Amino acid sequence: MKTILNDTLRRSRYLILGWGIGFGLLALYIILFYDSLAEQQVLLDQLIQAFPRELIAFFGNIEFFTTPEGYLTMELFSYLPIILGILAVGQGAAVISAAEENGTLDILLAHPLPRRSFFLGRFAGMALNLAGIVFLIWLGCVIALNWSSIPLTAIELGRPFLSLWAFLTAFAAFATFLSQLLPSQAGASLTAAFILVVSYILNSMANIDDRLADVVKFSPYTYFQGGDALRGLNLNWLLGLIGAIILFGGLALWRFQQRDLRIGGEGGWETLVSLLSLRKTKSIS
Amino acid sequence: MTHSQSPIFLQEVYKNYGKVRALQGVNLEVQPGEIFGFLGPNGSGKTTTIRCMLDLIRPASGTLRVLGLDPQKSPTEVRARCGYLPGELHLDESVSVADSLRLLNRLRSPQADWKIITAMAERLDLNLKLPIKSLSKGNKQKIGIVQALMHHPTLLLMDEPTSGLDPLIQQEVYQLLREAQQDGSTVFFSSHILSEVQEIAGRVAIIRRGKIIEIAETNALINRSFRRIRIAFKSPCEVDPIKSVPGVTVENSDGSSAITLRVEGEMDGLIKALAAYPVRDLEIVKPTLEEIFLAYYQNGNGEA
Repeated sequence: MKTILNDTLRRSRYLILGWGIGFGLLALYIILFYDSLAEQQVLLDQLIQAFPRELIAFFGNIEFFTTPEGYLTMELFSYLPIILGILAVGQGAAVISAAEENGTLDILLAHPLPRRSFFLGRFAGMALNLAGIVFLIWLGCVIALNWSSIPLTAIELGRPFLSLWAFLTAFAAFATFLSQLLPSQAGASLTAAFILVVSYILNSMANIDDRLADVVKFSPYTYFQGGDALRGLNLNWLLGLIGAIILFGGLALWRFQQRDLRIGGEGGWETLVSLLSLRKTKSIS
Repeated sequence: MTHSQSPIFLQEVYKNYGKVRALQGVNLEVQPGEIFGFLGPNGSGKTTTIRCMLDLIRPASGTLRVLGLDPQKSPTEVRARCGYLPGELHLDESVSVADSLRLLNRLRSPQADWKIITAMAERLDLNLKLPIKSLSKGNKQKIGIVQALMHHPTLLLMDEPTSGLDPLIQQEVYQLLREAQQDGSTVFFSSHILSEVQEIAGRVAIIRRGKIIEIAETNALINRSFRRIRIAFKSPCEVDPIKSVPGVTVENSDGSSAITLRVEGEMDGLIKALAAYPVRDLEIVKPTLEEIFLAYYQNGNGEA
């Protein structure tokens, strides 16, 4: 497992650095910009009041935009879950299926390496990749706090990022599970991404339509705490997300241990297109 | 040694992919220390059989034992003692040859001595420092061969081992396989290149549409099969009586002074018929394995 984990982290180091440093710099810039905006509090409040309710709904509770919580919610935590979520479902669906579809899985699993160890190495690598990206974004924020009047400590700022990591990893685990059920990595990514986006839209719409309050209880996005976590982390929700990671990860592992490995080249976009167009594919060699 | 302790033992093994019946009751036993060729065209079930042996896929039914072990119950034990070369070798292209081999070596315990790896790479003219993405198919295949052999496996499972290799390297691979055999390994390799099976395999199985249609010693298979006979006569003759000998068909006739025949079964009838002719020269040509293989397919031997 350790060899596979190290290999996974080695191969994804540029991904972690690219996404982590990119968004970390953006987060740093956003926090440094806070003081300038706070000086324009009255004007900004007037501007926000003029926004359509439907637009405001997608940014959460931004009536408090000029407070640190409101500002970070709108400028950072409103879109990070959806953008990083798309990355996460791609990473999750790739845990096993990427190596399977590019054909490298055959040679690895022909070695005395239990499927369980391979899975856990890759799955832990994926979770650590996401943790690395989230950590770098948090680090950008913490560095920026030195030159900002935002009255938050590094630990307080870490709470929403912890929730963000759990949310992303839960969706990634769901995508991993789907990748073991569906015939292609692409199909698993698209399905998980679709659910992620629908969940995001549902939660946004629930901000303006109370009738959706009961529905969004079943939406994963509800359990992402975002800027609200700055005031205190809901541990039950965090543990719920971690439970989802374990559940979907466990189901994916179980399914992986049961099934045949696809031969290299099977299960890519062609398989998805083929299935959608109801064409038959043969898999014999 | 019981059957189930043979390096490879398959009894009534079935495997389906949906409605496609990939293996239809495969029966096969390979003896310790032999080089065994597994012949069949694309899609006949060669790769499926090998992948079942390593628990990469699971048969629907039947008995399968590798080195006396059930691959589904003891997959890591089986793989620890096997070396495997997949038919379509895919490697992580972001690393060098050396790093790729190091990774694969780290998955084994005990690990192979790095000196063995470098010596083998040298024999195959494989540069360990090159990035894999810059390699040709043949050079990638060399990596597959090195990783399959480097830990001196008890059983070598190779799916089309010389695919993409130039003739000189092919000969080196044959030599490596012979050396592995001399060291006590059993070699099981699939191929549709009959000349290589003929060159190194002591026994051969022919699989067609998921069924084994022939298992024989390679030489015996060639010997007991049809023969091609070229006959030159001293003077033009009437050859119709020869054509009517049972088991004889005319493949080529050069006027009436030379004739090429294909003879199946006993030669006795033909020899007696030829006694009446002024024969100047007679040449018996054994068929290549390729011709035998084609004959199986053309004649529909082994059909259900």
